[in-house]
Amino acid sequence: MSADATVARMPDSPPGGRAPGGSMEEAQEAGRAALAAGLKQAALRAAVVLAGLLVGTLVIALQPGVSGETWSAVWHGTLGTASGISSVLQLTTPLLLSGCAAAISARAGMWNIGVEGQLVIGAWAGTAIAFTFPGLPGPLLATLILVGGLVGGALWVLVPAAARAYLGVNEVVTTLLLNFVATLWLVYWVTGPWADTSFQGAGLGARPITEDAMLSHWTIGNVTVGVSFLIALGVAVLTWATFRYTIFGYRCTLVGVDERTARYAGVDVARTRFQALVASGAIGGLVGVIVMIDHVGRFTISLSTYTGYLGLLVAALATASLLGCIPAAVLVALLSAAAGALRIAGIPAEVTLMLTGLLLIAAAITDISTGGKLGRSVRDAATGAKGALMRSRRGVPDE
Amino acid sequence: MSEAVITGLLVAGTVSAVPVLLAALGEAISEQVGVKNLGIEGVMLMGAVLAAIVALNTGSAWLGLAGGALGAAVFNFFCLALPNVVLRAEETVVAFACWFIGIGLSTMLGVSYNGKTLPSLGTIEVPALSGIPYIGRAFFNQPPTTYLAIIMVIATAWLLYRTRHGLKLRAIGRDMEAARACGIAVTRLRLAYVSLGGAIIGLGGAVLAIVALGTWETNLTGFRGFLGFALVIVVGRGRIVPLLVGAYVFGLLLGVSGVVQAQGWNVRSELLDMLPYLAAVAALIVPAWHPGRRFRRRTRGAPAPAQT
Repeated sequence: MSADATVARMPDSPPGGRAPGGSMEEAQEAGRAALAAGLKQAALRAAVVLAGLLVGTLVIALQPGVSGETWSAVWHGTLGTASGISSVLQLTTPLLLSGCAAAISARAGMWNIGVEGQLVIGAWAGTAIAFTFPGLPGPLLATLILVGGLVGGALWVLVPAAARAYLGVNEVVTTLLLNFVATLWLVYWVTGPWADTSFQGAGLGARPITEDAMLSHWTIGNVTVGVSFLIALGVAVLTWATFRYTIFGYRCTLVGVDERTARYAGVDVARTRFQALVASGAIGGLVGVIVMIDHVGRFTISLSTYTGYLGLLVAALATASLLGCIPAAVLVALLSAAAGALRIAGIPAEVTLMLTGLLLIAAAITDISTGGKLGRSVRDAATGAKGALMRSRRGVPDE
Repeated sequence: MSEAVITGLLVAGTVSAVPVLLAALGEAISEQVGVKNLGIEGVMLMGAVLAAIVALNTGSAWLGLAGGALGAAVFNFFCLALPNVVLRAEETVVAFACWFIGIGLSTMLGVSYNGKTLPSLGTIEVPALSGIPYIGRAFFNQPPTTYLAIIMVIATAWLLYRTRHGLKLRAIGRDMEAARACGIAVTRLRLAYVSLGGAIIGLGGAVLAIVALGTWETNLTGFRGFLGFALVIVVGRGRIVPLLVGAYVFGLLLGVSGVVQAQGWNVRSELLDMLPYLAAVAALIVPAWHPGRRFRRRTRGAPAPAQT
């Protein structure tokens, strides 16, 4: 639960300890109240998430072929063993990035539903780079591939972003429809120009990219952690810092809070929207290449198992707080790992999506009972925090 | 192009257009009472899988269609209408939740029905007219669901614009609070019509499985529901009859790839399959071009802008 969301409950009180204008007692009082409210919301969110999980578990338990062994397999596949923990961390990486991409656009008051497509095009661009410069030294090639992913994702969102920012065309539908186009594009390349007939993995695949370009992994104890995980954490912290400390981040938040206020304050609303969506798309593109050069090693249909859409859940569970995305991504990764173990019992992988849906509804409903819709709670968080901060800086007493 | 190619394309267009048309009609009804149903794809999938299950177990395609529509309405009620209308949760989040649950649930339910041939409905031939070259087979020798869909579109337009009941519905879309003040049972009507919209969307999925493809397979809708959603925006909110034209255009674009493959022309089908989706994106963006002298969509009975 983010500190921002806490403040949303009491927009008129300054954030604890950051009020040079108010007295010490007042600040402490406000801090305590904010903490209590935050805990309350966190408890409620946890309760509802648990309820969602319980419903999902019940549905699965009623399926034929599910027995006690299935559940022990789930335990071994997630937290019970070192390899389980490793796979959870591996799954967290793309989910965290995808959650960040969704959260960036949500903070600016928009929905980037196109992460799924951006990750495909990002991975496509990365693969094209890997095939064009096969002779480069590994680290350089890996860097180029990562940059290629960023650029590919940004380019794929360019048209919907421009249409949203400058023409007011609903970005939800355009980004969503382009996902399917990207998937068809992928099928075209892996069955046509880049086809690898000897590929034995799930789905269709292109020829593998060179082994040198793959990111390295460390083994701590028996748990494997990849460089990719650190990159994802770095991106999350960096975007959080961007929203916290830079003018660009502040402009985005302002536009997300209230377009008219932003315009009155002299912000170029259209340009800010455009930039926010492109930034979101670039990170979406990064998701694809990260998965590819972390462990998959080629451009294939199985690069994403709905990762782009699961990012929406991550962002919704984190109420669009960038740091909150980290625990949310771990939670969703646990779910995905559990679904992987369930597949052995013949439960289709789409089961994660169903659980995702239940959790999304749970998240949307808890936002209500804690005083607002997801979008509004994000907006209030921003106004509450910024407003209180500005008042305290100027020494204006709270009304 | 030979007559066979053109006839083939027109027939494929009609067959592919009907599911999109029904999805768009359901969404249009839902929007009339102020609920955007972006979960449309999940509702369609539920309609398709339930239709397949009922049709295979009873052996009747008609019972399949009814089961699909009814099941989809129940699904839509619990996953979309209730959270939206009663719990007032965030529309977009709930819609995607509805889609995800639809994918997951339909896949789980449909595991043992994958790829099985479903009972067929046959076609109704309109005497004399079905012999017209080019358009005869495409429009006058069709499964009964095609005619049913067209009748439903016209009936909906009549209900909304020619009856007192329709006036109430449009009033809800325009201004919910004003409608409530007039003594209209707003919540009850919204729940009812969002569910009815869900039933029609589900019927679209059922028609897709039973009539257009003749089988159930995992995720068989392939974004056709979202095409329907885009169609409602392109045509303009509150306009019902023009959906027929729009859906047929999308149907033709969906049909192109199959026809080209049947002819054995050397074009990759994946690239042709992109056509309807690219066209939908273009149709959403292009009319918004030129802010100065822009082409204004006519909007009938459009809901008031969302109050946030």
